Amino acid sequence: MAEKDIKKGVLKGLLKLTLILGAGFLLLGILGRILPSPTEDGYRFFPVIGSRVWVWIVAQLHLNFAAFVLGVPIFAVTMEFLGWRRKDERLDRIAYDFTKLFTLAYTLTAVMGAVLMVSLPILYPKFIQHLMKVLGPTWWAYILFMYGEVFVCYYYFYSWHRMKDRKGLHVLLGVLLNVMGTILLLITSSWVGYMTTPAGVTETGELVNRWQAIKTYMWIPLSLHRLVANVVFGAGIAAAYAAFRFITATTPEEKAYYDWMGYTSAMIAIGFSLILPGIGYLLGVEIYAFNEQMGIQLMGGFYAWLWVMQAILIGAILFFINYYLWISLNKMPGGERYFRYVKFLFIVVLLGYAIWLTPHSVALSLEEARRIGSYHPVLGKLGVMASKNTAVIISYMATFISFAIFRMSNKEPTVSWASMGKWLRVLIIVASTGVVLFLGVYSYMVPSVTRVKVLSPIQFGVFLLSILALYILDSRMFKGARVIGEPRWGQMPERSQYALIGITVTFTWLMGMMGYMRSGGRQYWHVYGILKDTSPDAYLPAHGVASVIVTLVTLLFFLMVAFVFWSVMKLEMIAEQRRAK
Amino acid sequence: MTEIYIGVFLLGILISLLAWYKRSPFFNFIGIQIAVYGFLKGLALFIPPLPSQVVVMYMAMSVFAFFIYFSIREETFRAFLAPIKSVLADRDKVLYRVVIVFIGLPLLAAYITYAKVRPSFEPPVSARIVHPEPPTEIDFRGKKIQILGLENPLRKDTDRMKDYLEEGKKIYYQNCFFCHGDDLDGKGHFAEAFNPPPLPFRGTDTIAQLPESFVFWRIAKGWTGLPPGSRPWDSAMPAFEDILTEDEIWKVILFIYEASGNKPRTWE
Amino acid sequence: MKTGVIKLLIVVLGINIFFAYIGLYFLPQSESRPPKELKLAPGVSQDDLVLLGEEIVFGKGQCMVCHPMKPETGMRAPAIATIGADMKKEAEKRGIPYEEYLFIALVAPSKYVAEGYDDIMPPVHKPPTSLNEGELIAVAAYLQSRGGTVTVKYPDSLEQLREIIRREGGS
Repeated sequence: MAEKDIKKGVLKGLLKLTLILGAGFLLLGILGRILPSPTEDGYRFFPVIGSRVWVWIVAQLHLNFAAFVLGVPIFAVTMEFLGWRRKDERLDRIAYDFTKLFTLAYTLTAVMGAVLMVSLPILYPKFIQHLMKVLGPTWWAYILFMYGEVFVCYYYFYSWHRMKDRKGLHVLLGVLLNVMGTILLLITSSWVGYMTTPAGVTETGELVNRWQAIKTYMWIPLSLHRLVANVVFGAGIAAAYAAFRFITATTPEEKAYYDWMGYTSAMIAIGFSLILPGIGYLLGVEIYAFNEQMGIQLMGGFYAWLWVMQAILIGAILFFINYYLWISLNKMPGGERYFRYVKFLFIVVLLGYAIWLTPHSVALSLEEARRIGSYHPVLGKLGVMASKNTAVIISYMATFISFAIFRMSNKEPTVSWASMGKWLRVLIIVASTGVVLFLGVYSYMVPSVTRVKVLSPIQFGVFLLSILALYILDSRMFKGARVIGEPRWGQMPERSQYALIGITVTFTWLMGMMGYMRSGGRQYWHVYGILKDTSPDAYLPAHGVASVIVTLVTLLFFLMVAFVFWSVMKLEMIAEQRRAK
Repeated sequence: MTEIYIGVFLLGILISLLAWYKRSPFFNFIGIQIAVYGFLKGLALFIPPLPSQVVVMYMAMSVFAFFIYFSIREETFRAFLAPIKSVLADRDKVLYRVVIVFIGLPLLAAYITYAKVRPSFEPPVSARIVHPEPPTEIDFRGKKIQILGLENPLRKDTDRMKDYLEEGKKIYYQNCFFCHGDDLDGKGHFAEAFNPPPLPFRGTDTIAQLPESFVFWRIAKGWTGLPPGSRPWDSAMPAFEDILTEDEIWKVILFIYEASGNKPRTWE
Repeated sequence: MKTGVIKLLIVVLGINIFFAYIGLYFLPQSESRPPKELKLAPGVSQDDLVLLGEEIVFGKGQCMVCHPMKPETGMRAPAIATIGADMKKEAEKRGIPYEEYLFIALVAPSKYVAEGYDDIMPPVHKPPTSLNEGELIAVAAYLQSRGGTVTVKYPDSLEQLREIIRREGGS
């Protein structure tokens, strides 16, 4: 592509953003004129589904896309950098493919954002007025940075081939893109932070200190949590894209490439998801520090059952990823040797999932209550956090071992201490599992404070240490190892790709649900403790209703994502034809 | 009746083993599911039966997980699907097709529907607070007793502990044993007649979780003393203040802790 | 290729429906409604005040989030069961009228913190709990009834409460 194309592309991007924003402001003005004025306490009502559900769906869709376009650049640039340093064409291609995806997704993100921008002030005029009063300047800064982001993003994309010889500069551009993205994330997080853990205003909502209102308890932990989750989510969508392309691919080369892309993306997603519980814990601590009441409400009150749902979802993700890795053994020369271990891993993961799902209390029919009594001795023991922590850590461990097996299955170590290394590996696995199990059993015997503050972190620490040790051991042991054969990328049954899609769908659902919980933590407040929600929607819906809405959002999101995938394919086809000419 | 599940379990194992020998993953899968079902139901022989909701959940998981398991290797998965495909498509399997697909499955669906809509006379389930809050103080036959922070006065008297335990034992067998059982496991002669059944004292989740003051209140006031949330009409525990003296109650408390090997919970 | 895409659609749809099914039929279904404001009639009896107060302590006031009913290990706030008697003792020790101490404990809890506890309680007449005057008096009556005698009345105690809020409670 020529220099002119860069300019044209960037201009097109900026123009698109201006058009969408302009249409939004125009619509806002028109609707504000023609619609009847809001009710006395400051609400208008969305027809049929109600204002809350409408805003809920639009906001979650916008957030999903935003997470995608902010998360993917992080590892796209990393890949580009690695490809540049290692002179690996394939890494550069995958980075370019990622970039293609998020550049296209920008338009949909902006459209959803504009819909949200129109909906909120129209439906919740008083609430938005308050937010503008307190955080108004950040909104204008947000628009400014949005332009910056779009500019850098389109420049980054269109200059990819043009700047092939100035890779360093191009990577720097990518870093700048991420800086912009992070600033955007910080700004939006500050809004949510203010709504949930407000500061810097008087009790009646008069502004005292704007910086205080931005720098709330939740701000940094929420931003961190979102940053990492965005990477996980973005990689998940990239994996789904790869799966989609794999299924529709017609040539073996394409199949091989998209198989590899799916694998890489899925591993990025799972790898980063390992840190999420830690950051989530940090976020929880900050919420507790702000208001104990809200913390308990979120963790153990009305939302207690949604944590069970979360267990179901994460368990499903672990199952999908293990399944994917086990199937992957099929394509590794020498992979057959490891199928006998899969049996044991399968049993471990299955039992771990079973324990994790076991509810502490269940609804009993009268007949059952007669026979069982009011409590169940075995379920009662399995249904508590002590066993669940242990189960999930061991399942994670099994997942890591599946990953390690896959990586080494086509190699034969040649170092002199290979057999000793094998025993060392067994020792690490057995010992760390033993320690985790022992701590799990022991934690039944101590007060819960000790369990939460001492034993569970130790369990998690042992797990992290042991996977680190295994990783180092394996990389030393397989240095210069004899390679039995290169992985046969592309020789994967289609069903493995459904597992990839399954991971992404589950992630999206999980994100929708946890986002709802975060928002619902405010209960019947727009701004917790400052601005009361007096609309008819000022209640927390039943879990079933919430599940249906989250499902709806997820399906809509995938519909739109499918559209993005389809347009990428279409664009590629056009480029192909042009080249043919 | 529960014994039949041992048979189910063994049958499942047998099918699974045969299928494994014949290298037929599909029947192996069927066998495993039957065995898992038999196992979950058969557990009732050793521990209180699992609630049906939990069995359904575990079974769903088992079907999902083992289906996944048999689809990991290409050959296995093909062999797994072979019988299904053959029944659906092979020319010489017309009889199977008719029996399974056109008669068996519709009948199964019909039965499930029937079981779902069949009217039943079960009362609705509602939650009951198992460990209610004790009152601050109670009226023990005209004497005010502060329950909060109350300690067993006999526990300090270590010299005569042996006698107390002996007397407590006697009291237990004259009053409590009929329901709470010879082994303090809640399986006395009358236990079967009550709903919910009498609580066991063994194990770590009943009296081991409670301070003696709570136990004293429960014995003294019985069902009448339960707050509405615990649905007093769902308990058959008599109010022993009319039968036993204060000292006797304390003695029997000493006995049930000693005999069940539990220690009362204390406020550190 | 076509069948692959259709299967893909089925997978996405199936997983979503499965999760919605769990949410609908596996989790308990209840809504959480915002609490109602209590309007007291003048001259309400002290027994009624105690009952109303109990409802607020267990519901809208969300006191049970931190306060246990009876003493237990690791509790973060004093137990409710004997709080009336405990506060009376505490008030005598500090030489403050019982009722005044009680109201201060509700509207300016940081002023006197019971020994051995952290200063974690928010003033309950302010948001997010936002109890109104009548509700504050009902809660005070309930607290007194736990181990002590009820002395506050409605509307007689209103003036004292307002005075204390003016003096201690900021707004």
